Amino acid sequence: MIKLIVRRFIELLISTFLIATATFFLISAVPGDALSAQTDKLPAATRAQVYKNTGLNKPVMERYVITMNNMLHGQFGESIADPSVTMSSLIRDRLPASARLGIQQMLLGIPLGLLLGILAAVYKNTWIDRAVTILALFLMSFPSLVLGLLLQSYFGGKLGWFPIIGWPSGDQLWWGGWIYTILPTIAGGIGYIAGYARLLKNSMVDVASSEYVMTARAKGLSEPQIVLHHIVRNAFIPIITSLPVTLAFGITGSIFIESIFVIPGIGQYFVTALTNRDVPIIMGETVLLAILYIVTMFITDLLYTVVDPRIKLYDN
Amino acid sequence: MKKSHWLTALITGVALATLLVGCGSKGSASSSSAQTLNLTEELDPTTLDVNDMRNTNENDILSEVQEGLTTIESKNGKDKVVLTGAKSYTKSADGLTYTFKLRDAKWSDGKKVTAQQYVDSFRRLLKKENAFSQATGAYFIKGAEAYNTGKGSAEDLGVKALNAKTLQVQLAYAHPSLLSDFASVIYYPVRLDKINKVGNKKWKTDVKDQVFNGPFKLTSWKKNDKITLKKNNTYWNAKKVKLQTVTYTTTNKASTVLSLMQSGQLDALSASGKQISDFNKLAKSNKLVSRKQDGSGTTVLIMNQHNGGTQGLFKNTKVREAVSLSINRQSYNKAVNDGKDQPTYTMVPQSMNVGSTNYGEYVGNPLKDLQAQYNTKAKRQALLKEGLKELGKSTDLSKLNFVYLTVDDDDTGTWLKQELDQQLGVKVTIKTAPDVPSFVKSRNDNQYDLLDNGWSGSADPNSYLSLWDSNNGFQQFFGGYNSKTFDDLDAKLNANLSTKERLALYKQLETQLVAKDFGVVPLTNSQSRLYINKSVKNLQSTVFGATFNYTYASKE
Repeated sequence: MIKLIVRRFIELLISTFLIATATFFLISAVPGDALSAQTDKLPAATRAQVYKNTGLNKPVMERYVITMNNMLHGQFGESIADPSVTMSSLIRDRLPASARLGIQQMLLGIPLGLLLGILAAVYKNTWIDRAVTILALFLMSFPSLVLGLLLQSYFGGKLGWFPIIGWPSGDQLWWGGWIYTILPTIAGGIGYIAGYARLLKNSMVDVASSEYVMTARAKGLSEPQIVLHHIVRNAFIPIITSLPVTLAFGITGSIFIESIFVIPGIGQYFVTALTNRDVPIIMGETVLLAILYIVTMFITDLLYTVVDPRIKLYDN
Repeated sequence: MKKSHWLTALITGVALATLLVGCGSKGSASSSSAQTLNLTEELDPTTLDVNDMRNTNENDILSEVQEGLTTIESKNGKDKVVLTGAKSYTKSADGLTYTFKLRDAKWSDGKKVTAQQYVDSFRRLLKKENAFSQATGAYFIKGAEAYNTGKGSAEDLGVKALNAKTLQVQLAYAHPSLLSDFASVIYYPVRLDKINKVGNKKWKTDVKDQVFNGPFKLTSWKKNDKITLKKNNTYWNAKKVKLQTVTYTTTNKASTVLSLMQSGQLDALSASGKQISDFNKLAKSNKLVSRKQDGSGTTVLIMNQHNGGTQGLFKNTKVREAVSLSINRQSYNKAVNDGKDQPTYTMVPQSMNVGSTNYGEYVGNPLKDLQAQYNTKAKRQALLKEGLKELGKSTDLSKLNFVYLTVDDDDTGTWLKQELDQQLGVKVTIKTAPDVPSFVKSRNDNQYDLLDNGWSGSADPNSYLSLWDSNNGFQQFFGGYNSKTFDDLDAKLNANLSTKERLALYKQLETQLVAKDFGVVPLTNSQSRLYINKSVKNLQSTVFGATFNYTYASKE
């Protein structure tokens, strides 16, 4: 087991390094750079000075070496657009809000989705099944941005039941200020219902036609017992595989929701960094996502063995 | 069994919690009338460093937490320059030396405001290594350009502290709008003792290291979230300041802003074109008042005169004339701004006043008169063909293809395409760059014929006209107009002239630019629509100042 973890860790480091390198050169290949928008209206001499001050006037390879060197020391550098922002300040200041929002959205949407999925599978081909399918389709095609705006405008603006904008801060950052989180959670959480409902339903239908289920029926077990002990547990494997990855991407922020509700999260920052060619932030964000993804994949593999003892992690 | 109960319990719990919390606290009531003004901004400021000011967002906030020699207020709908940091001033006979006597004023940490702090500010603004974007605006000061380009020293800069309360400014050439310019935050005094302790980088954004000499102080700044200002009790005129708190929420979502205004959580706003119809509806509900405010911006259509554009055509005056005369700025204003701005035929805003004379009235509209002469498509096409012949190109108009470069999915392109097709019979292709850096590259590589752009100057017509000097540092994004006649005329403005002589020159310059050389096509002058909560009193807005001046505003 230890050997496995160590091996995976080394793979993580190598993958991250390769991803960072690829990201760096890809960004450098795209026309324009982090300062062109800012310095556009400056006279040539001033612009040259700004580039000199930030080191962006150096050739690509030299910048690559500097960037990689800093990265290996855990530093991604300051954002070019706003030098007071670094990757660590972003993670410290803005990741909590996105993480909490993401987790709440998942806690709302996924259980609901799973429940609906079970219902649809158990009552397959009845009106319940069709209702769930239609609901899933409808929810999938409803963009979270539009839902967020509607909720904000109606429940926040017209009725005044909820704050229009804002997010708890200070010591309320994780466990307080619930009222600010309600609308954004609903706006983004609904999106999970459809996906997980369909996923579980299809998986359960597959499992329901397998041999051990027929055996269980033949043995005389009651339907609820069959569903819960045998079908659901086995049908959960695909759910287990997608949960960790959903979590990884969920906590890194939903840009639209954050922007509508003025939530000081990390998602918006990443998108702006891309359009601004803010290399340090893009590098940091890519590496962060890569690490999260690889780690969650590993956890997924481990969870597999828990859910299905037949699956073993191979070590060669 | 267990799993089912667990799920049910969870769902019930979430539902109950939602209900309880939702019905429990009544959301946030509209802001209490305790003298708090709530505003929004589209973007977070990037810096608190006055010398480094770049955009409206910074200007809006810094102009209220800091103070310089003068401020711009509004009287009877017109801009009025008021002495604030300065108590009085004298001007030499040749107009090249100004001596300011400072008022007794203090910073928020109790230290006095001194003339040396102004000197420090000018030097810091113009220091080459700082590369501050607005430094070139100060070149009218003696020795400024040399110092900023590394060819001179700080000691030779024409700014001196004659004593603790007297500041002397020497100019390189006459600059009639000096008092109005000094209201800009870039000329505000600075505290080097504080800046040097933390360094330029930290000074930009660290709130706790800052000190303030304006009517308010900045007490908290949550990035991309909310900024809070509180009344500064050490301000020299604190007695007259009624507001206790001002908040800025950062959001660029129009519907969020509308919801905030609807529920009384936003007190005032300068609306963009698209928001106007929604806000007008809200204004009818009697909770808001709305008013128009002339702005300092001119939007223009630029023609590529660096290399004539993708087909090399725009180097020819007649080609440019034909295009310029085909533009209907009323239809532009309607299509792109929902009619919000003011159509204009001149580069300098028509509302500009020079002394007691109105610029618009004096200079007239030479372009408009010309357009009336070429009032049919046939006449304009004939003109275009003459230009093409002069260039030695085919006069087959169907071969022409003007490339309009833009970065957004913008209405200007769509309007322009239709306009030139209808009014001139020429095809326009819209080239959209995916983001700003790509746009900048395409533009610098001259991959366009037409661009739109805007400029916001100061209270001096020359701040709009000198833009078109062939050696102006901004030529790259204003099409590369190059005319010796224009340059020579503009150079004459450096002398110490009377208002009458200036006006005569302005008229010549404007005519040369838009109606003889057709170097640019003026489209509109900005005009804001302000929506203000009825309970807010004395919220001022000006042409050349910040979006709002709320120093002496109050709430009922």
